[in-house]
Amino acid sequence: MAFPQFMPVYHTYLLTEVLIYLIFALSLNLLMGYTGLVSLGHAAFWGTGGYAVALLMSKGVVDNFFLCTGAALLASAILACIFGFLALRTSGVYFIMITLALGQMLWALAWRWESFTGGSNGLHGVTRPDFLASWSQVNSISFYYLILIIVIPTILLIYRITTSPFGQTLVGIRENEPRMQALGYNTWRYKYSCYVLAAIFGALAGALKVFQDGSINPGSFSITISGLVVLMVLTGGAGSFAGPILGASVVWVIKSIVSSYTSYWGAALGIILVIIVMFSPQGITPLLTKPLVKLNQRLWNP
Amino acid sequence: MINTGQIILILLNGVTTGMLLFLLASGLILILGVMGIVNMSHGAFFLLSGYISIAIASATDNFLIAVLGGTAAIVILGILVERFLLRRVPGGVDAQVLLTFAFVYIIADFSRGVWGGYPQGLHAPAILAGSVKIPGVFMTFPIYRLSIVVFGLIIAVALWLFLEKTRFGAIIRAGVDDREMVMGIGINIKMLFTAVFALGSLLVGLAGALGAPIMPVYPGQDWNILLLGMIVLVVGGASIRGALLGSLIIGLADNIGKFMLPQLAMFLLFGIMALILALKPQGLFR
Repeated sequence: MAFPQFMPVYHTYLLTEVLIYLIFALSLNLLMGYTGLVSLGHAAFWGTGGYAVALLMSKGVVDNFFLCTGAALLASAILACIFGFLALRTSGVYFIMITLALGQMLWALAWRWESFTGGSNGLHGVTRPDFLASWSQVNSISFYYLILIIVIPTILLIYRITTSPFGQTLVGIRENEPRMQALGYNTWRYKYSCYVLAAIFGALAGALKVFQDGSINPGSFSITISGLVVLMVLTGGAGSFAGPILGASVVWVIKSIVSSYTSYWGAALGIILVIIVMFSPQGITPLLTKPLVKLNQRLWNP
Repeated sequence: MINTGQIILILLNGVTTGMLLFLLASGLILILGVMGIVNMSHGAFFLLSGYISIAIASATDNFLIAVLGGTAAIVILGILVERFLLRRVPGGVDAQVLLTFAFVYIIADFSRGVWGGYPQGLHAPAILAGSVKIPGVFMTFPIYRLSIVVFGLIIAVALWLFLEKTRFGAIIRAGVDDREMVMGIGINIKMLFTAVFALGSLLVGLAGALGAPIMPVYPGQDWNILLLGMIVLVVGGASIRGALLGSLIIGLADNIGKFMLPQLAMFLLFGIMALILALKPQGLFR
């Protein structure tokens, strides 16, 4: 977490962006990594969080950072309660399909319901909280610190969730759901809770992103975003805690570099995903931890 | 107030869309049933077939060759993908689905790079151009669209015959019912998978090529059509009968929705899908 005072504004922007995507990836990891439910529509909540903030702010209804963000979390939770009920009627590849469909539905809705969502133009006029500073260079820095103050406790909170009995139950469900049911766990309730939790954290990320960008468009619901976050989780390693953190950083760096050279960064990400799936389905975290483990062994057993 | 002519037009258009969807969905369902994976790149195959057919048509000025060429290209792509990538994925069906997901990005950017982002179309062949009068109302309907309906029905019958009356079809049905058993009785499961994936690719390749004259070919169409295919799968259920009836339902609903409330036509489809999921998750015609 370098000091943004010494960086050009653009780098501060990127750093802030990575932190936000980190939360997004961690939220999906709860669902995908720990519970084993692969979702290709997680952008649904990213977009819901973002649009909730944008709608409140651009129509001039609410101006307060905390109220808007709270509304974003609430909206996403409600949506997740409905979507989760439908999606969890399925499992496995059907679940993947339904989550994709639900995400696409919201995308189409955002696109077509122009009077409400602004259509392809999206919504503008989201301003950052001004209790920090209001001139632009310092605003970027103060915004970065605001994000940092929000992100770090969130990461800790997600960590506590994953290491709690709730989190361990999720892992049990991922490994062998029938056995968990035989042990008396209401697995549906756990999966549902996880789905809603993942949605809330995802919406937090989406809301923060809108504050960073100042505007939103239907692209926030798109499959591109859903795919991007899946790639982040897979690249780092689903099911581990550090995985999505590493994955989000790596994927974001690659995307930023590639997109500065060509507009075909989608293909680059696709190729990376192919490589990950074919050669290292556990992501790159094991590639890093295995040598460290070996080194440790050699140090202690010369 | 709508008149009878408009109703008939909506119905005919709905059935046309439904038939194209059937070609797409049947391939999707065969692959899902036998191999257990949702081929996420099915929509991308559809798009690519459209692009290739258009390219061949502008080179040869022959519709038939364009359609055959586009379809063949997708079949070859499907075989290569299955043989060298899909089969070698370490891990289960979830990993394979993610692999097909990755292809969409690659195919999409490839298509955009080669053919650009503007929507493209194809002219129907001369013998099928023009419209025919619908008796009793002051409406005409394009012959090409009618021929798609007819063709779709022929394919449906052919598929049914293939699955019910041939040995290979029996193996496919057996694979859908119980994959492990099929492996256990000594059938070459690898060849079966490649063949099924190729068959699915054939169907979607046909759909993409034949659809080019009536649906614009542009980046984004891949996800749109895949979404429709998945809705058909959920609503109709994972069977060929489900694919046919589901496609017709969704094709009609899509056209009705667009006619009545263009802004929220998607909502109607979503509503149908949500209803089926809530009440009968296996689909209507499983």
